[in-house]
Amino acid sequence: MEQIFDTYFQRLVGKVDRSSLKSIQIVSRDGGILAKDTADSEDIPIDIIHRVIQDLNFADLQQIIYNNSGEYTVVSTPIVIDLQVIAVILIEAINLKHCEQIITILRTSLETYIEYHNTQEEVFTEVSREEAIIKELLAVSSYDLGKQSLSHKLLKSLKSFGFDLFLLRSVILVKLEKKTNSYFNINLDLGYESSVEAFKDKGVEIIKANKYLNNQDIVAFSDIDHIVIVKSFLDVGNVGKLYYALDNICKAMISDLEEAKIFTYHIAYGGIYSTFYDIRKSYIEAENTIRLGSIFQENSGVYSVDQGIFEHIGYYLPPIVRHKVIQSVLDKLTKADGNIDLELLYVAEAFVDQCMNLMQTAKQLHLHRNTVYLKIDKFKNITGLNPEKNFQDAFVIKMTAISVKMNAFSQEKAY
Amino acid sequence: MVREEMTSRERVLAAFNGTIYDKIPVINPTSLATVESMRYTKAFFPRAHTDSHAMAALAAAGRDLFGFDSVMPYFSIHLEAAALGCEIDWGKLDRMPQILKSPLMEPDDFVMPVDFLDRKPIKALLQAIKLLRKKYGTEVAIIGKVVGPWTLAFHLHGTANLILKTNMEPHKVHQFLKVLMQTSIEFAHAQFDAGADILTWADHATADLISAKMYEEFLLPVHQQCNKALQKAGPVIFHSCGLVADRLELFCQSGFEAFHLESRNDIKAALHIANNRMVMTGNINNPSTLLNGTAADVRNAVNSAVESGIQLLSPECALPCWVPNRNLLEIVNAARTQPNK
Repeated sequence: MEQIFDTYFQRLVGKVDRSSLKSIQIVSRDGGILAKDTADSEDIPIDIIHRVIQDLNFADLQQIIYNNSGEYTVVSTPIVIDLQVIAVILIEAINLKHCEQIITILRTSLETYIEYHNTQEEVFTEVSREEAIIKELLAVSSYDLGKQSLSHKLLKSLKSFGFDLFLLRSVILVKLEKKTNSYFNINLDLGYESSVEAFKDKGVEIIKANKYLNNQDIVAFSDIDHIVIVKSFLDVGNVGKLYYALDNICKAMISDLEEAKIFTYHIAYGGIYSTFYDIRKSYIEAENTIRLGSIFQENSGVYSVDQGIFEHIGYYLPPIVRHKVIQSVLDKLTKADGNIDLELLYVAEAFVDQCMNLMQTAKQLHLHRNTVYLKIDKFKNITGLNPEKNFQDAFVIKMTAISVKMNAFSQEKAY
Repeated sequence: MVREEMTSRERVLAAFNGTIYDKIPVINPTSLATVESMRYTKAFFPRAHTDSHAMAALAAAGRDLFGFDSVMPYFSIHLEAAALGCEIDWGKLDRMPQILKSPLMEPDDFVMPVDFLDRKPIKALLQAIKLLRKKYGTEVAIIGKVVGPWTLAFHLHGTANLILKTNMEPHKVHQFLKVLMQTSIEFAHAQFDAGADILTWADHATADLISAKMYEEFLLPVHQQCNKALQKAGPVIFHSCGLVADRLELFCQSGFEAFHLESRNDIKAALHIANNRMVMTGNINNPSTLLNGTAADVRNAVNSAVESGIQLLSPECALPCWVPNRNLLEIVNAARTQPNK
């Protein structure tokens, strides 16, 4: 409260036309001075302050009180928040009428500001500390505006909460997918929703209790179905080892979460970075790993880059490669009806996956060896790509197949 | 019935034994060295880390200048590490030592030197304890200190490496602790034999580095074993920095007689958890109260700690060297005005 009176009040009185008054003061209910317009202005005598406070009419908290002792003409009014008088404004007036207007404006401004300030405080205490931090770290504006945009307030909070700003950190993302039962083609709630909410909080508690987490780690919901863990690491001089440690942590988390079976969990982590500025980047990488995992991996659970290296490379392929190289292959594979010859592409992909071994490819696809041979030959003729002679061609085939699968998945999701 | 005037040593031991004492004791389980005290005693860092006479002289300042009920001559946490081959930067007047190189790659590589107790930094501390015992007789409580196997493993293998191993190669962490705890036990016995009344066991199982579950998995069984080995030697104060509320129950199961806690912890909650199983000491804030606070701030901190029910007053951790001596004196002055227990 003192801070409000110190800073906001000073800014406010700086805008007041002072020709009609001598001084402005804010006092507490017991008469103590909380703020003055200028440090060197003369104090209003304490007996006048007390008389004004005594004259307060609690039935009319919008009142303006006048006190004219001869030497001092004082206009005053209470500052009221939630029907409680929290302070009193006093103006030693020269022009009474002008001072009535000024004191009304001051009161309204201060009350509005204090109410707003209090609401913000409540919001912060209602939302957990971690949740507030995570939401700010992941806020798009913080990231898009560049590295210097993490607010001073947030950095100060992180420091005051004891977070070491110089540890390495990675985001582990846990996506919660509700297991639903559809009866007779309709979704029946059957009291599910309330249990779901309770289990969400339990999920956070379970993760917080994971043995690999310590006080430097942050765990909270980032939205209704994602739990974010900002995991810290000491620098061991080999960041690669830390990714293997992350694999263990994710596996342990999935195992811990077995307790809360109401959800299916998808878990992945992003890159390890040395500053809080890059937390959002790590979050996006974790999110993409889950997305790619759910397209290309059969079992849900822990997704990691090394389970789908080509898929990750395909996802992060530079646009120029995608537009120039991949699109050109797809154009060549497009049939007269406008559709891509996916069968040919997937046979070629399987051929690459099987290290250009015809027998193995045939076995995988449940086709005759000669059929595979003919299809591969056709593919070579159409696209000009020969994976047996050129690794780059094999790589292009793989990237093209991945690109098609990702597009199909995106379109499916869109519908 | 309590004697009207107890000696400092009697007062401190009474607090450990749970018997009546005349005035609340003021002790220092960790370093009380300040630049002012160094100037007064002419025992300066870094020499006072490894020279027995300088160690004893600087430790004595706590008693002679401020009237603390204890003296403690081990100011850093690096003597064992130095004796076991770590490369150390011994710091300077106002900076504590630090490890430059950790030599131990694998737990199997560790061999306990047969002459461990005769190695220079170890011998210096034992000699300093003897000098203090000679100086004070049974007047003052002498506190020794050892670094526990967890912190020693940080020093010898590297903190980051050890923490990573809890995840990647937990069996090796168990091995490290098993081989290193013998060092701590041997050094602890030697300090009691040299004249220490009490021992601080510094093992940084801090919440900023490991979870309570990790403490339970790796360290609790080791601490229980160590305490069993030291059962008859004398009381041991466990020191670990940071927030400990989530692991204090486990600390109580470790067998330590006392816990030295940081001011970030709620002392009332800690006493409630401990439920007389451990004596609580510490909790007077170093940076805000002792380094930057006024005499009134120190008095308030002492009053508040006593009101909360703390049995042994002490600063929360090793003092920053620039703490003004007047604030240390004020701890004792404020303690002496507390009603008798």
